[in-house]
Amino acid sequence: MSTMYLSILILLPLLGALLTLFIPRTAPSQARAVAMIATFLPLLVTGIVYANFDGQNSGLQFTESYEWIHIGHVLGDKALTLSWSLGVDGLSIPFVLLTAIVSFLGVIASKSVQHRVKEYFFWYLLLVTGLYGCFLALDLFLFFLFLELTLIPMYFLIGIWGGERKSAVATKFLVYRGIASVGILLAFVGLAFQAAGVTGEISMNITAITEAFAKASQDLITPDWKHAIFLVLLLAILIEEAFFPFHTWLPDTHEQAPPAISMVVGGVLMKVGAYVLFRVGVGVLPDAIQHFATLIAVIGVINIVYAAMIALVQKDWRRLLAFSAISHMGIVLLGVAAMNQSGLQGAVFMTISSGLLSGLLFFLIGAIKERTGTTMIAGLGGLSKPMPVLSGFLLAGALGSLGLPGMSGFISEILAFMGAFAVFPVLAAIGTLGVILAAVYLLWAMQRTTYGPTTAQLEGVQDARAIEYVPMVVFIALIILIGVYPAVIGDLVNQTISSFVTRVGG
Amino acid sequence: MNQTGIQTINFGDVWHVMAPEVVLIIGGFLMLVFDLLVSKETSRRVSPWIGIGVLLAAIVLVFRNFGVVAEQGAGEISNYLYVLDDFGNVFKLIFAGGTALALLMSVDFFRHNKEIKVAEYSYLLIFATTGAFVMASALDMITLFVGLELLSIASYILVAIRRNNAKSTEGAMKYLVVGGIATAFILYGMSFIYGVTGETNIAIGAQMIMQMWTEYKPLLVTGFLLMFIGLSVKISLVPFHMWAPDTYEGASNPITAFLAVVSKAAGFAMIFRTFLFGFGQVFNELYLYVVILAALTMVVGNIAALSQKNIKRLLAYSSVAQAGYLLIPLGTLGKGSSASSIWLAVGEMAFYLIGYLFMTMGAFAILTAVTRKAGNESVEAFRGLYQRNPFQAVAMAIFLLSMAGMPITAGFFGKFYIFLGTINTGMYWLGGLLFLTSAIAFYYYFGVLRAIFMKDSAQPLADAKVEMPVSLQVIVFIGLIGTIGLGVFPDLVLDSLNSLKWFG
Repeated sequence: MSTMYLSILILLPLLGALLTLFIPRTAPSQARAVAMIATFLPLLVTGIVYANFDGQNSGLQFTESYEWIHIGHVLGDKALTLSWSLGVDGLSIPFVLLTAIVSFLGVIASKSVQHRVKEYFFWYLLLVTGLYGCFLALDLFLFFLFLELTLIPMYFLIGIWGGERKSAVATKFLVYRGIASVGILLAFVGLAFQAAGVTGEISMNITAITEAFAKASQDLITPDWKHAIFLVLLLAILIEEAFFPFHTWLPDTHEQAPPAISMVVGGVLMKVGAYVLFRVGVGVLPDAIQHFATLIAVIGVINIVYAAMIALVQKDWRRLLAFSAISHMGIVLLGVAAMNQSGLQGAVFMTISSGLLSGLLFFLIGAIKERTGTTMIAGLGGLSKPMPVLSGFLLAGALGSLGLPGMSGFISEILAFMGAFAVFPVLAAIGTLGVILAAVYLLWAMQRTTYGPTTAQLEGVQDARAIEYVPMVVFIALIILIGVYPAVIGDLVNQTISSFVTRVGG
Repeated sequence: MNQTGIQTINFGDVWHVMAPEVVLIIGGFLMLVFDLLVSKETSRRVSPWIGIGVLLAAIVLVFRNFGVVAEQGAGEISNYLYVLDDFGNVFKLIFAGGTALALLMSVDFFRHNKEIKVAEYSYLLIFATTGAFVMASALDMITLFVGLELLSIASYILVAIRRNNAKSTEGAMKYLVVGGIATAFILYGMSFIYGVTGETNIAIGAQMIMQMWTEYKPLLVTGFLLMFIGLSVKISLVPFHMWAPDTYEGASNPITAFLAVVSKAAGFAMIFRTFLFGFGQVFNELYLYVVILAALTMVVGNIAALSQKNIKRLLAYSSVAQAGYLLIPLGTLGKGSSASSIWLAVGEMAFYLIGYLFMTMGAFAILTAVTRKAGNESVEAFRGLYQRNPFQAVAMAIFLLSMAGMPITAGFFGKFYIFLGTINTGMYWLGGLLFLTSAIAFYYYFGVLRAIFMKDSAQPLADAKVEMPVSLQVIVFIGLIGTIGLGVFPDLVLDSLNSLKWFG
């Protein structure tokens, strides 16, 4: 079996991006076709990887590693090695699947882009390259490189194809995420430097760092160091994941970005920070997480409740969904703070589930905006008559989002709260308020959007086109699949999470 | 310390240590004479190319010197008045390479500005470069001062060379006055050091500085600070940077690039060598001044750049900020002056300067073509460049992203490497500030990118195509190769830098 699958995964969209540059400006449909193929082939490759993935193995699989930069004698006698090394384990494979699915469906959702199409898909494919890279990279330097690679395309995707405030919001996005990535880099280098004290060479390989931290005694890497690095990392993740009080850029971004990009942002890009929290926070610094568990849980609960309350008063669907996503990601923090099997599982489930639900809901809102020209809740109403299908899926998405049993949101919330109740009963109880509020703001918005009299100008608008069934059905199918048969993700992540949890116990 | 014996110097010794300088000086005078002998037209056409030839010859001799140092160790003449070591060699490559690119950029500038005296301009650049060479290799304060003045005075004239341009005159006047005051500071500071040590040679005086430190500390610190302030002006550190935007704006593009790269690098060479050799033993009591100025420069430089509408002023503030990044390696020596820390610090500074050379030269080449087409120097001149000339647009984007510090460019790895140095000496906050201010800088670099990629051209596309002469294209290519090459394969350069005998 070839071991190049993961490099191919990253290179295919990159190749597609370069290919779009050679397509004449006058042939936008060709650019679209290239983008379709350059996201569909990776989806197939991801399928192969998934099919051959050994769920019983808690280690990394499909690994490949090529030395890239090697500098002897950087700090005294220590050498610096950075490598192109990729791999997947139970933690990353759900995220890779998510990337593959959302990025392909995003091309379908990009149908409404009619202006500078070739450039659009160039930046889009570059963004997808960066996203695959983030979840596949085992070298933190490489990870950082891919993280920055998502920044530049996003700036242009919002800035050129966005709404009326596109320019300001693109800059806001850039500055917030730019500062977040600085924090992430600082934390990574701090980790590598501390690990170098143990191993004798500077490497940013996550496996090497994890092992060095696991075996280092208290004298080699002092708890103070771990705490300091973790706080920097946590701050960066709070900005990256748009947690309160650094959240203002996310609603703006969702509001101004083109619908397909909103989908990718909500579906995948916003999950990168959570992935870093799992991989580096939980994986490398479990004792620091335990030390700051209360702080993390409190931030989580504040976000669950605050974002849900803000969502109540939103007038625009896109902003409402953005706050809803923040509220959901607060549950992730709560689950991580619990640091037990159930809490961590719930956190991973919630991240994936929120990705799928955001993808679906932003797709639907984009489709509704294309037809009605608005996403303002007040401007809509009675949609179920002219568009029964879209309204139906919107209702399904909303129900999934508020945690209806049988859908992915439910199992995620149950697991996360179960984990949290065991450790922080009071905080977890307050957190459940967010779940109740979610039902209120989502159902209220649904009621105002789909029921009631249909306004005159909305009558006669077309319902879902055939091609639009693809994303809707795929998303809903996955959401229900996870809800009914959680083992699809559970079997993948269980082994890895167990290995994290046992380390904490020891 | 037995410098009483009278040495005889023969040309062989001089050639051994100063071959590139000798070639530059002879070349400069030949160009001067050449201008008098041939017709005006010929002189205009040929002079810059002679200059480039002389610089290339100097580069070849510097490479020869790398071999000499590797084989025989460091050399010196006249009792360590002037030394030959790899520290000097690396900087000389940067100076000669930078000036050669600036001169190549000037060829196009001459074509469009008939009133410029080409021969004067060309040999002044050569003499300025000689001054920079001296600053990188002299150990004697008097000699250092001569080198500094040679560079400075030639630069004043070069900034003012567009005599009929009000901005050029204004910039030159400011540069002259501020530069003159700076020179006075440096000289005054040197006099304190000489007064205490009785030595003009900093390497020999260093032992006296150490012995006298407790007794004459106020005098020595005053001397250090005066010299540091004077040199801070030359490398445009905040709060001594006010001349830079006006001068950069007033000077012609090749001269601005020369000031930003060569003149600044020369200042860094002199600062690094003087302070390391002279004050290395007591630097743990002085480094705070350096670190504070570095931090201030990064913050103020980047924040002041945010509101700039003129692309040259924007790049001027950007180059102020870069000076802050470049000062960090020196600052880190205060907390770890072991040999390995020093090698690391010099390596960081040299690597960043080399990368800075490539990205700055490339950016100025594109800027020249674009602003000429637009007829103004505002950021808006770049509007719709992507539609008007995609190659230039992408190249400019790469240079700006490198300055901003995006991965796989020289600028990113340079910053990353400097950051490693701060971690190594425990100055985490300084390293954090380095990247934090870089993130602020995204704002203004992406402002230019927004004009390039997002906005539509102000004029109809057919009229707005940007032509670029071959000479500028060559510079852009060199810049691109350097910027991306150093970003993707930094180990190639860093490993060779690490294997050098910096100070013999």
